[in-house]
Amino acid sequence: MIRVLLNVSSPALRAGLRELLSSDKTIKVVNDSLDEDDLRSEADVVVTSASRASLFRGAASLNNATDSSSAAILLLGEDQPNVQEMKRMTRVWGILPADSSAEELTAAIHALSQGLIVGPPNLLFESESGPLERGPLTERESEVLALLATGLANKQIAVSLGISEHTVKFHVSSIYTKLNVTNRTEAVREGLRGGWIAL
Amino acid sequence: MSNPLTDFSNILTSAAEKGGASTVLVDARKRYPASGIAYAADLVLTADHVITREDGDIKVGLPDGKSLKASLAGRDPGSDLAVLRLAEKALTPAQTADDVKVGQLVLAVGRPSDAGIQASWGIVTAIAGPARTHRGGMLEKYIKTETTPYPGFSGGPLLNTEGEVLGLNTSGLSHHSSALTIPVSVAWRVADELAKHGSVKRGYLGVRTQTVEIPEAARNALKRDQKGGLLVLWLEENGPAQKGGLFVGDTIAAIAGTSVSDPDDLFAALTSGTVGKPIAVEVLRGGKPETVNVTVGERK
Repeated sequence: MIRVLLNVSSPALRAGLRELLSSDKTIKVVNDSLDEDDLRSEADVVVTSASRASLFRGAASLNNATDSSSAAILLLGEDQPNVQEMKRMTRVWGILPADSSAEELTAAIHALSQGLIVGPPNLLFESESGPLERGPLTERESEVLALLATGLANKQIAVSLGISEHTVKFHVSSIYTKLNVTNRTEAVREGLRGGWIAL
Repeated sequence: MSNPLTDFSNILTSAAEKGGASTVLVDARKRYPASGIAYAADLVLTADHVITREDGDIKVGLPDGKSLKASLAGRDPGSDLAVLRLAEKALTPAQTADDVKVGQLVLAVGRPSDAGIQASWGIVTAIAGPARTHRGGMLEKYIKTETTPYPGFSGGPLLNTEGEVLGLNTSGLSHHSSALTIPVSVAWRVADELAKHGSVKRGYLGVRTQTVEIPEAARNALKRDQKGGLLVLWLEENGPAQKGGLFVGDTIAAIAGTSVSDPDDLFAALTSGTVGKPIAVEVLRGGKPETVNVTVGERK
């Protein structure tokens, strides 16, 4: 029997999840209330929902609330966090899209209870395609770097991207740090060599 | 008997005078003005970095002391060039010369004040490029000289001893205010585009690449001793390269017959002249050379 704790704030979602899971006789929803400490610590898998913005807060509250080291956590993401974020939250071992089917949800709970990691393919492979396309840079930094390669000054980059010159300076300095360079020429060279600027 | 030193000096003064007749004052920034070259009767070619004031507040000082309002016709920060337009045809267009050699005697001329032209002389120390400028852009070719870049010389001409323009001097492309000269072959082409379109087009393939070593067997297949090529890592969906039939995993070895072994080579090859035209891209595919025709797009 896999004991599952539903740690979601919306009563409707909680009721829905309980209903979905009831079809699997090997899964037992132990409690869906956050107030009863004794039951929570016995859960094998905690199901929680979180948006990207509240992810860290949610994860922190979970870590505080469920102190049993064996409880794996399945996260229902509304917009999906990436694998890097997932790895930072030590106890989140599974991520499922919010529109997952009952079969996917029960399969994920079974997998997590066996100590496996669960996630949709596009999420797990993001870690491979991301760095290849942009290197260590964010999307905005990549845009700034591409404009640096055409020789634009900060002010002109600001106009081109519709952001302030101050923000451009911030991005440029961040690019320098990430690429370990000290000037624009080196930044562009590194960007081209690394294959992060499209030609 | 004539004094050869006086003759020599006279040659320099008449060259400065002739070039100076097509050198104007460009007042478009704070503190001191800079210089410009009469590109056409109503067009001034100058350095992009000396224009910091808004359009509508730019003035051009003519050799006869008159000051005219000018508008910005176009600018290209990558090559540090800009073209200003006058309302009337008041200029004497500069005469140009294409042949420049290392060791050649040259004059750098500027008109940074109403007091008249200023000059500095020296020899051409190097002709180089393509190179990345400290602004991050790419310069196909540049001239280094021994001339002294006095304040306000940016935008002014480098002259030969005939008083013909060899290029445009600027301190905006290198560090520590050392100057370099953009040769006429590059500057006049950019000026033409700026006057016509207001900006300079750049070619675009829609690829991201990394430099890789070409193995010996493939080098033999290429029939030349080219050590590096550009491995295609990414193709823009429906981009020029993908439409032309390039694949991820191809190694680009040459563009339009010129070998490329560094991304900068590719960047330099994609000049404005290539936009919209088919270009032969030689790739190594499975170790064998193949040529793919790609219609070059425009970098936005």
